[in-house]
Formats: sequence, structure tokens, C-alpha cells
Amino acid sequence: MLAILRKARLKDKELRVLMLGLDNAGKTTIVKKIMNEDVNTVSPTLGFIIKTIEFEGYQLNIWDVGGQKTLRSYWRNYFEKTDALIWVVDATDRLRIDDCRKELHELLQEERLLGATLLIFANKTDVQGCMSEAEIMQGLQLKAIRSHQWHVLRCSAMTGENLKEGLAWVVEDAKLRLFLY
Amino acid sequence: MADPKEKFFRHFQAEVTLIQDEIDSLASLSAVGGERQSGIDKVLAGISRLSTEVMDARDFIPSYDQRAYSQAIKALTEKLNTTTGKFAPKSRFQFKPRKADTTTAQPQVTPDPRLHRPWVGDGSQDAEDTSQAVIEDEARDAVGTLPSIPSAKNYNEELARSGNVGGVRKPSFSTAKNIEISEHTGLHIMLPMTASRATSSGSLTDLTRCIVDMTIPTTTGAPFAGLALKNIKQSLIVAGQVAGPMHITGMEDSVIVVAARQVRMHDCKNVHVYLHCASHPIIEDCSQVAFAPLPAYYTNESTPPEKNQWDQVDDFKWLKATASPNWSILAEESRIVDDVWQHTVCGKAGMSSDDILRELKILTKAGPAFAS
Repeated sequence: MLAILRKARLKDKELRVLMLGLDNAGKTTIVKKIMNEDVNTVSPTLGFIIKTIEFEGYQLNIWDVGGQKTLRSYWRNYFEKTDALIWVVDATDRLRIDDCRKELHELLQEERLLGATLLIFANKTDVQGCMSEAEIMQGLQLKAIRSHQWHVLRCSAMTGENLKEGLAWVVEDAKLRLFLY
Repeated sequence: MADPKEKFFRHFQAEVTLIQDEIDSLASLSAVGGERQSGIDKVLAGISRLSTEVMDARDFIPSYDQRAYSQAIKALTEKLNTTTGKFAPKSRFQFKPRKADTTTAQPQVTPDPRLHRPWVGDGSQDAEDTSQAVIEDEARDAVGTLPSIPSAKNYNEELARSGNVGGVRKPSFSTAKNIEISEHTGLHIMLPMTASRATSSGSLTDLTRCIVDMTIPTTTGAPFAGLALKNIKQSLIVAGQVAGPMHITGMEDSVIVVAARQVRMHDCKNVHVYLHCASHPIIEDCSQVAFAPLPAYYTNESTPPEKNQWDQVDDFKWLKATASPNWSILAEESRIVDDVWQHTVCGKAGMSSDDILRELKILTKAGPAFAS
């Protein structure tokens, strides 16, 4: 039943994407960069921001919710009807990789997110000495994730590297699993 | 691909030219504030790197070429000695000579290396001797660090043991990819120019009663891409410039000076922030935080052009329309004046880091708390 509803909605070629991660991961900067907006004056997100991006004929409604500790308890309010979850990791932040893992795994327990695709953006990879993909997979224990289809992509919100590729993967995966035609 | 010999030759030529230029420009650097010393450190690091590279290239370079390379390196060292010799009368008053054993054990951190460098200043040494000295350097460098990972050089250990008590530490970061300073008490650390090659993120953790000044490498060299501060008490952090976000957790009774694109503060108490911020600074679970604009002394052409929003603070724990009780604007008469930044913070002769912290009212005679 849920699947039918979901498919009906996808006929409109609309996807709801939820973007989460610790504070300072670069969520808002990623969205701004994709929209070609100024990334130098992004303030930490107090609440949430919704942006609509047209991508390959699909309409992506991106919900970018602040990652500060105070806001994390409100994340649950945004789970409903999420088609794809983008989890953003700061690849330079070794000090908080454990916090990052805990928050992610807690999130994946959530029933309302079960059907969602999971893209992990390892952001800030333009910075020298950042964590490698292997380090991030290890640090976040990604191999232990059984509940979701997941994919890791190194990216940089400053240079724009791999951001479009990430959206392309999200759309592709949604198409395979959710689309009627 | 070009022949490795050819490629190395061209690389070597380029490096030598670069180092020669750097030596030539030493005279124009200011002797105060450690700028010239940083310049010398950088040149020495460059020469030492070059000799290591020659050593590494031994496999494919014929021996007569090797000798030529060694001689070129020797010429560079001599040039440096001649140049620095001219500055000697001035620099003699800067620092007391360090104990010989510390300097030979860690040539990279030697504050006045031209006196102690094993292969400096002895024209009679031939190529074999030079190579020998380099090998010794490498062997000693490897002690206490992980041998196979060059970037894992433990400069925190060096910081802790090098130099006289109360002196200014100027660690070498020429082999570092990240700047990570942690677990120190009562130190005055000035990052040298060499640190600017580490153009990546930095972190300062678990510092008590320390002064860390990162102005030189981050404003004249490359700024940090991001900087994290964690568990810092009764300290002064002059963080210089951060091209990205600054993330502060658990800072107490301290002063911080920084120009950054974003600033986030968590679990901080009684902190004065002198700030240039291109976005809204935020605080979360903080109290008694006072903000002031970046002092004129630290403002220069490398300060980001965006409008300074130092007073547009958002408190995640205070979403009401009324003003948050957790932060305030530091009253002008309570701000540290430019004269103090310029003359005290850079290290005054005979002042220990505690003396400086006391003058800035971060430490008081009665106890740690400073007037807020």
C-alpha cells in the first residue's frame, strides 16, 4: 500500500531528499554550491532550509536540517515520506567521527526511513590530509549497515566536485526501486 | 615519461632556485616577531629536504652527478651562512643558545640551527660526509616516531621537551600534513612560516595555560581550511586565519583571536572572542561569552573581504526574541589594546607565558578566573 502511494507520487517525478549530518559537516554549503549561490557567507543553520532543485527532469525537494546538538532531537519531524537520505560527513573531522557514527546508526533504526536510499557524502575532500574512503567506511562502520542501500562518495562543497554525481546516484537509485515506467 | 635522471635534475634545479630566492629575501624580513627566524627555518628545512631527496635518488643517479648535487647543496648552506652571518649581531639578543644535545637530536626544531647543524659551516667536508650526516639525521628523526609514516612526526613530544622552560616554542611543521597540538601546559608556542606548507585543517586540544600564536603561517602563507579547538583552559589562542569553519568545544577562561568564515562554539564558559566572521557566529550550551571585533593589529590585506558579522551571534539555546543572557559585546574599555597585542603577546624578553597571561588578565594572582 505504502509502495503504491509512493509510486503514485513519483509519477510527478518528485523526490523528497533529507539531508542530515553533524553540525559543521557542510550540508548547507553543499546545497548552496549546487544552486550556484555564494558559499562564503553561509551561517550555521538555525532550523531548516528547503530548496527545490531541478535535476535531469526530476524535482528534488531537499530538506537541509541544522546539525547542531540542539536541533538533532527535531530531526524526527522530517522523516515522513523521505525518499532519499543524504548523510554528510566532514572528512577532516577525526575528533568527532565516533559521534558521527552513533548519530547515523541511530537514525537508520528509524522505521519511517526504512525505504529510503542512503547516500553518504564525505565532504571537504579538497582539504589535504582528510580521511580516506576506507577510513570513513571504517569510522562509520558502514559495512554493518544492512537496512539500507548505501553508497559513499567523496565530494567537496567548495570545489563542487562530485556533488552532481551524488544527485545523479540518488535519482538513479530511486528510479530503479520506485518508478513505474 | 621523461628519464628519471632528467626529471630529477630539473626538479633539483627548480628547488635550488627557489631556495636561493628565499635566502636572498631573508634580509628584507623583519628580525622581530620571529619572521626572519621562520624564514631561516624554512630555508633550512628546504635544504635538508633536498639532501634527503638526493639520497633517495641515489639508485638511479650516477656517482659523479651525486657529487655535483652534494656540492650544490653545500653551496646553498654556505650562502645561507654568509647571509645569516650578516644578521648575527642582532639575532644574538633574541634567544639564548639551546643546549647542544637537544639541537643535534632534533635538527628540525632547532631555533638557531645554523650554529649546530652537523654539516653546516665546514667547507672541508666532502660528499660522503654530507651523506653520512643526513643518514644520521634520518636515523635520529625516526627514534620515537613511526618509521614508515613521515607525516606522523611527533612534534607534540618535541614541543614538550625542546627548549628552555618559559621560552617560546617554534616547532617545525615542514613534514606535517595536519597541525595537531595537544596536551600541553604552560607553553608559549609560535607557529613558524614552515607551518604554512601544511595547508589543511588544524586542531588544538587539551591545552592549559598556553599561548598559541598562529598568525605568521596563516596570514602570510596558507590559511587553515578548518580549525578545531577542544578542551582549552586559561589560554590565549591567536588562531590567525581560517578559510573555512572554526569549531570550538569546551573552552574556559580563555581569549581567542581569529578571522574565520564560520564560528561555532559549544560548552564554553567565560571566553573573550576577538573576531572577524563572514557569517553569523553561533553558540550552543555556552555562558559568559563576550565578543569584540578583530583588533586592528591583526587586520591586514589577507583578512577576508566579506562584511564582519562578529556581533550577529545566534544562540541555539535561546530562541526567544529577547537578547540571550549567554553572550554579550565586550565593552570597549575592557578590550585588550593594540599595544599589548603588538608588544606583549609576541613574547617580551624575560616574560614567561604565565606572566603574559597574567598581564592579559587571563590568569590572576588570586586564581584562574579573569574579570568578565
